[in-house]
Amino acid sequence: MITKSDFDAVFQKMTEEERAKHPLPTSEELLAYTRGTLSEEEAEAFRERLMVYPELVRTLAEPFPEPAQPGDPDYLSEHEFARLWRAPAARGALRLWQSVAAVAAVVAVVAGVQAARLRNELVQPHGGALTVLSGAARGIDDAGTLSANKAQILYFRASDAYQLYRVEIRDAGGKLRWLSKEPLRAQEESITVFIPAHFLAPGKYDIVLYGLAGARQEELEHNPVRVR
Amino acid sequence: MKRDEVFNDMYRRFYTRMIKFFVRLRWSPEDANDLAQETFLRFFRALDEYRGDAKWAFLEEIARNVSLNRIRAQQTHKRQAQLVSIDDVSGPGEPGGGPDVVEILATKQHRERLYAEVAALPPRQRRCLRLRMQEYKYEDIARVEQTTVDAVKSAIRDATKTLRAKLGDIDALPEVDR
Repeated sequence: MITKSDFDAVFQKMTEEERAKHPLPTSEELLAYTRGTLSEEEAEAFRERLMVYPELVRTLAEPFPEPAQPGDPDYLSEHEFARLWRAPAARGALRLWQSVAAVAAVVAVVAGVQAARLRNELVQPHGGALTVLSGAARGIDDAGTLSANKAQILYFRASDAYQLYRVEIRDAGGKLRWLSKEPLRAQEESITVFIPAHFLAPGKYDIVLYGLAGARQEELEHNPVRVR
Repeated sequence: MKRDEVFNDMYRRFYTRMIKFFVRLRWSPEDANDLAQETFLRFFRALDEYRGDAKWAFLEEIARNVSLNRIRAQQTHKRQAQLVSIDDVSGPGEPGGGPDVVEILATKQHRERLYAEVAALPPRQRRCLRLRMQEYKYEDIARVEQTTVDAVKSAIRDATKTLRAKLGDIDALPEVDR
């Protein structure tokens, strides 16, 4: 009697065998597929690769939500929007990013925007602004002045030498306060890290960026910051 | 509509549902939260360059891409998941003794035969059957395959017919509704 377990075992074996042959598609390949710009042969090859990555199949299979309409519980009020995403702060972060791109010597910038608030640690408000002290902010006016009571988004400029990165935050005593759980991959030449605000209690910190290559890691930069 | 107004409107309409979307993709609530925020950050940064009318489609594209990037980041250092080998047919031991050797060999044999027949199916039939066996809806399979629901049903119907012809009646195969 052939059972569902038999099918599961068979498909799993196929996945094991094929994973070595098929790397995870890149963003560009995913876009090309969803936009329908691949040839039929390329699209067919892409579908075969998809089968090896069930998590990516889910990403493509799941219907994208319809927009909430005013009056719908999912529709955010203006107040909620302001609370969750302060456009002025976001614009500031963007200007900061553009400035960083223009100043090659500047390698890291700390910016802040309101992080999403659900029932997790990110919701905890924390008074105090995060200020870039030195080094990283060279040549950027007011770059480090950020709003209070919000989580932080850190932008680091990617290095040509590395694709994967790790970020640490150490307090003034050198004690590790935060560590990016997974290796971070540069996107659009930047590495973005969300830092829960409550980790940044008033005081001085050092934000350290590492480049990862296999088992090796290289310390790329230190960014002293102060939270007040 | 000005850029900020567009963003405000999109954020208010999609933010909560975006988090739910990422949760449905089996990200933790914390990750879903991060991913939604990252999606909107990227959307915000790219909004000036976007020239199309369908902003929601652009947002969708970014969201799926953000998910892919997170999958990649996780994949890099993820420990190898424990996989069940096709050769591993041992079940829980029978009380008072080990698994029946004859039964193990029989299971191994019919799995190998099943493997060969499934592998011999045309690619689309094999893929559609595989996703259906993983409980995906026809509509979702059609989205992945970029085809119609009817085409998906037809592929699954053909696959089950072939497998039944080769292997006999198999209860585990999905019944395709018309």
